[in-house]
Amino acid sequence: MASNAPILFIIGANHRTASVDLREKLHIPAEQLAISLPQIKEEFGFLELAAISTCNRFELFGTARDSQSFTAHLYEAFLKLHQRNAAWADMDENLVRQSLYLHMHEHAVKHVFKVASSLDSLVLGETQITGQFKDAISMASETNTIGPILNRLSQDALATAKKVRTSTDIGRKHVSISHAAIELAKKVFGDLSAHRFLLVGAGEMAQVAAKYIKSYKPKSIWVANRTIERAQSLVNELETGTAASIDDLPTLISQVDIVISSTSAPGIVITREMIKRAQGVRKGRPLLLIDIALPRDIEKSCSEVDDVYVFDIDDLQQVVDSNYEERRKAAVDATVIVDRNTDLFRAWEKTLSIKPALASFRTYLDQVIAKESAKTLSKDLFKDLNEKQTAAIVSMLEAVASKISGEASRRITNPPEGYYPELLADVLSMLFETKDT
Amino acid sequence: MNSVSISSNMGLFGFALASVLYLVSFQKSKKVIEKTAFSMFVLSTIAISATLAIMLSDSALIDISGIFLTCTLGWIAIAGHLKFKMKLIGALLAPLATFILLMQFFVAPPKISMTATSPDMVLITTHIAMAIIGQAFAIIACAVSVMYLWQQNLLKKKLLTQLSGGVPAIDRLERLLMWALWTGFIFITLGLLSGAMFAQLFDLPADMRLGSKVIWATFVWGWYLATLLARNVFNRSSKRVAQMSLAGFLFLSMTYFGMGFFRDLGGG
Repeated sequence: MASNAPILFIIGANHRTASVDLREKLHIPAEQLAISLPQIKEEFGFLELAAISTCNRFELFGTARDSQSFTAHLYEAFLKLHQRNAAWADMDENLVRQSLYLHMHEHAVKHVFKVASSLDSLVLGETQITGQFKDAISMASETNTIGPILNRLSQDALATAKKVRTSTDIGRKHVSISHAAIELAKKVFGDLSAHRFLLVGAGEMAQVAAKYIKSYKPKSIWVANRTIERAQSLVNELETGTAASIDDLPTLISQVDIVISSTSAPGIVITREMIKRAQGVRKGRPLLLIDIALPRDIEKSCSEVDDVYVFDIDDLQQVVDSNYEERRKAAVDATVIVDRNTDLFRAWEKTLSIKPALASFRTYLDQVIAKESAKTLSKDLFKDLNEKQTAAIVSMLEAVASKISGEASRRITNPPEGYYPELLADVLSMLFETKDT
Repeated sequence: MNSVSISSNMGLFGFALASVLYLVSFQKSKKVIEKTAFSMFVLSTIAISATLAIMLSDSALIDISGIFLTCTLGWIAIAGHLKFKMKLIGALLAPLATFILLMQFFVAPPKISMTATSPDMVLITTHIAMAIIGQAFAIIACAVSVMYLWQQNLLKKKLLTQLSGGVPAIDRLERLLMWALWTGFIFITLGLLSGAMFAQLFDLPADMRLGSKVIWATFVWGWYLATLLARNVFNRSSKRVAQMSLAGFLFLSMTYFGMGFFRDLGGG
C-alpha cells in the first residue's frame, strides 16, 4: 500500500564528485538563489525547497510528493535552476549529470546532518559549513520555500552539529598551518601566556596566527614587516602588540621566545649569524623558530645553534596530519550521533505522515456524534431534559470519541511487530472512508 | 623487629618497587602504573622520614646521612612532581634513593671521633645537614639536566610525538635547572664554610683538615661555581650548563661515596 507522505530528497554535487572548475560554475550567488528558488519550487511542484551553495558544494534539498518520474524530475529541476545562471553557457550538461548524487528518505536526512556537522566537508570538522547551512535555511525561510519538514530538519541538523562539536574531539585540534604553528609552540613551551612572540611578515598566514596567539594572552606580540604600515595595520586589527620594521629583526629576536616567519621574501630573512648573536644576549634561553613561509625565511643551519629549535612547513605538515588523523577518529563517534539523530528525525517524520489520517478519523467521530446526538436528543423521550443535562450527554459522547481516537493514535504510532504506522493509518482511513475528508 | 627497621625497610623496598613500576610504565605507557609508582615513591619518602625522625634522637647526623639525603631528595621530588608537573623525576630519583639506602645499610659510613660537647655537635650537624641538602639539590639538578638534554634531543630531531607529558616544557626545565644549581651551590658553600669553621674552632688533626675528601669537595664547589659563571658571565648555552651539571653530580658523588669508601678500604 503506497503512502502519500512527502519524500525528503537532496540532490547536488560536492568536492568528491565535481572538480573545482565545475564547482565554481555550479555556485549560485545568494541574491540570485533568492529569486530562482521560489520559481523552481512553483514550476516543479515541490512542497519545500532550499539550497546550499559554497565553494565545495551545491545542493538542492526539499520535499515532494512521489511520482512516476520522480528522480528525472529532480535532475530536471537541478539543471533548470542552473540554466538561469550565467555560468551555464560554459557547462557540459552530461558532465553535470555525472557529478550529481541523489539521496532520499533517511539517506537524505543523514546527508544533511553530516553536511551541517562538517562530516562531509573537504576539511573534516571545519566550522564554516555550519554557518553556511544556517544562511541557506534563513534564505529559504525568507523566500517562503520551506515548511514544517525542512524547518524541523534544519533545527535537528544544527542540534546535531552542536552535539558533534561539543561531544567529540572533531574540532579540538586545528588543521591549518598557521594554527599548527601555535599548537607546536604550545607543545614546546607549554604555557604560552608567559612568552613573547615575534611575527615576521603581516600577510594572511600571519593574520590567522596572530589572532590565535592573542587568544593565549602572551606577554607581548611583535609584528615585523618590510612595510611597517602593514605591520601597524595588523597590530591595529589585533588591538594589541607592537609594529616594527624588518630591519630591527636582530634586536627583536633577542627579546622574544617564539618567532613565526611567513614573509613572501624570495630569500633568507633570518640568518644563523643573527640567531647566534641573539642567543648571546638571551643567555642561552630556549628559542623557537617556526618557518611557515615558502620559500623558507629561516636559514636551515640555525638549528645547529644550541638551545634553538627550528621547524619548517614540512614539520608542521606532520602536526597537521596527526591532528587530522584525530579528527578522523572523532568522526567515527560523530557518525554515531548522526545515526541516532537520523532515527529520531525519521520517527518524528512518521508521526507527521499519519497525523492527517488521525485528524480525519477524529473529525469523522465528531460528525457521527453531532449527527446521532442531534437525532436522539430530539426524540420525545428526552424532551424533558434541560440544557445542562443535554450538554452532559454530548460531553460524555465526546469523551468516548476522544478515548477511541486517542487509543487509535497510540496503537498506530506504536504498531505491533510486522505493521507500520503508515499502513495502519491507511487502513483506518479506508475502514471509515475518511480519506480526503 | 623494631620501629626503625620496619620503617627503613619499608622505605628501601618501596623505592625499589617504585623504580620497577616507573620502568614498567615507560614500556607500557600506562598512566595507572605511573600513578602507582608515584604513590609508592610518596609512601617510601614518608617511611624514610619517619626513620629519620626516630633515629635523629639517638644518632649523629653523620651516621644517618644516607637516610637524611634520601628523605631530602624524596620531598624535593614530590614537590617537583606536584608543583612543576615533573612526573618523571621520580623515575630518575627512585633508583638513586634505593642505591643510597643500600649504601647506608650495607656500607658503614665513616666515623669521626670528636668530643661530644654541645658547640661542636651543633657545628658538625650543621655542616653535614648543609652538605647533604646541597647534595640533594645537585642530584635534582642532575635529574633536571637529564630531562633537559632528553627533551632538547627530541626537539632537535623534531620527534614531537615522543615529547612526554610527564616532563615540563623545555624553558621551564631550563629555569628549574638554574634554580636547582643556585640553591645547591648555596648549601654546598654553607657546608664548606661550616666545615672550615669546625676545623678551625675545634682543632682537628692536620690530616683531617686537608684530607682527600676536603680537597675533592673544594674542587666540586669550584666546578659548580664554574658552571654558574659559565651561564651567568660567559653566556654559555643551557645545553652546556646541563652537561656541566651532570659532570658536577659525578664529582659530587665521588666526594660522598667514593672518598669515604676508598678511605674506609685503604685508610686514606
